[in-house]
Amino acid sequence: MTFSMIEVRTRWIGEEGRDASPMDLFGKVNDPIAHFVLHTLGWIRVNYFGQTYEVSLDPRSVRTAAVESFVAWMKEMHADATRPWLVKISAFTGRDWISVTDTAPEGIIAFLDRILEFGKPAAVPETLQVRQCPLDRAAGFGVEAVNTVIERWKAKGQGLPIDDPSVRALLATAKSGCTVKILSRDNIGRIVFGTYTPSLTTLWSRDSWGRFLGAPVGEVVPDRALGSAVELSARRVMETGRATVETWEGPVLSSTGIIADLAWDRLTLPLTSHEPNDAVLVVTHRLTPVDTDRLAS
Amino acid sequence: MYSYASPTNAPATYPFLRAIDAIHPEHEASRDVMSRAAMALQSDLDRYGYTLDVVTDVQVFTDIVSSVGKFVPNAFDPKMKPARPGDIFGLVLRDAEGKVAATNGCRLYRLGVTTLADHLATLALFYANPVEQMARGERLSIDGPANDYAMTVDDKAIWVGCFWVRPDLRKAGSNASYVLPFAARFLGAAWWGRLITFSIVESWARKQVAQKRLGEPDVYEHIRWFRPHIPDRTDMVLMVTEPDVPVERCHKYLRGEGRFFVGAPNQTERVVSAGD
Repeated sequence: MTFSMIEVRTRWIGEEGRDASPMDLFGKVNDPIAHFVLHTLGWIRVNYFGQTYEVSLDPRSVRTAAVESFVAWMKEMHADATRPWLVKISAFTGRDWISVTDTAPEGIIAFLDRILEFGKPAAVPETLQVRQCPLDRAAGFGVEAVNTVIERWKAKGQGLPIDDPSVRALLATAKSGCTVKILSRDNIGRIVFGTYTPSLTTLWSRDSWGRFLGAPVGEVVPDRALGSAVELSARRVMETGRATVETWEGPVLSSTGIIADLAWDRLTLPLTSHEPNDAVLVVTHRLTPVDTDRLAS
Repeated sequence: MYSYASPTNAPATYPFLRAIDAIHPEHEASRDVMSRAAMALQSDLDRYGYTLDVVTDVQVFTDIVSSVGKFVPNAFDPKMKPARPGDIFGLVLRDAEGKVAATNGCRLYRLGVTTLADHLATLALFYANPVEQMARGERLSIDGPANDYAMTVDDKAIWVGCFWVRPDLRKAGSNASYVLPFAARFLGAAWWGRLITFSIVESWARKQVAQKRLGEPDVYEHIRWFRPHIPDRTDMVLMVTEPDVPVERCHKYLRGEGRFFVGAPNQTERVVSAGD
């Protein structure tokens, strides 16, 4: 009988997209450590021998930089037509592993796209509908100070300071028509209220918004689902550095426990407090009941 | 690069690290700090040869808790208030000899559209079917700040209980009485997201020292729980820690505050670089 030995090597792609090793973290590797770096830290594991690769990742935790690095590596490998390769990629769904095997990057990338979509948290609660609008829709708010802030932001590029005169002017003048708030990231990464200037049509009672200052949005807004959506939206604008105008529509739970179907426009504009884009200015305009006839039709 | 390299006599397995799994998306912004705090805790446990087991079989956990003489509350009693799989876990800290050193557990309560106050007042927090399971004459009344607060808690919340530390590890013997509640709330946050943790305890917890030991929770009065079989223990308080407390503790842990020790605090090692 003839035996052959194959040496299987392991490569880890860390959260920053570079080669990493659990040995560097713990001085050893065992099953729980491998589980931790794969599922908690979001690394990608590549077991390989020759040109055969077995790739494992957890879409719930894998980092974008790690995925980009893996895809770039695969494309680079594919460019060398003289060395055919085979990849079996496995993704953990939270219950089980699903996998595909391919010899070209396209199939693997399509699989990755699908599986990573599953891992993403919902952008907003399903009950709230959000539609993106062009930035110039904010002119329709009819508040001159809003237009001034947008112009200042465009002129300044990425660095409109949180205490810019145009921002202060908006906070001072917007009391009747719009709700204006500044949300910022605190020292442990939470999104908290910096200022809150209610409009006449605000949903929240004075008792409710009186508690907003300095408090985490997701905790203090009486409608928690709305609070989470506002928080996610603020994080998105902080990450991209792009101002957005959106139309939001859906049921909202007021301070008094009444659920109302409402629609409103919303400008979210990145500001700079301590570092670029670590705060956002949010202007909410026209909190009106949803046209139920239109919905029915 | 940070390092959590362990001494060579460290235990071979890391059940606590393994149990964390993917950190809940509600803590996405704090994922790094939570992961690093978990590694730092594991490193500290290794230093003393301690292991932190995560027990998901509630019967096994309650058997361990009972074996050390600790009262098992109904929240962890599968006969009185069964929990769905994945909605409960127990932590068991074991010393280098494998003996139980401390316990603590968490249970996710799915309150639905009613509030924590409703679940308390109707005893639904402790019994799957209160009117058939409760002791004859058992009552719970909640009012004052405890009621005001509990009325605001709906959807989901985490009960923390079965907290026990071996006598020789209390006070100067170790800081397991700080680390276990930290680890329990950490794992609850990693699994279930940004939720309050709470427990109902006898009113001695109002004392400042006890609050500090348990990690400075918010304490709300008044709860009176009449249990005919223990008539002299009716005064209770609602103890709450807010959803971001586990993350704040992670930051503190990485700054070197509350690092696990047995015997005397180890001042010499800081495994994480400054700026955490």
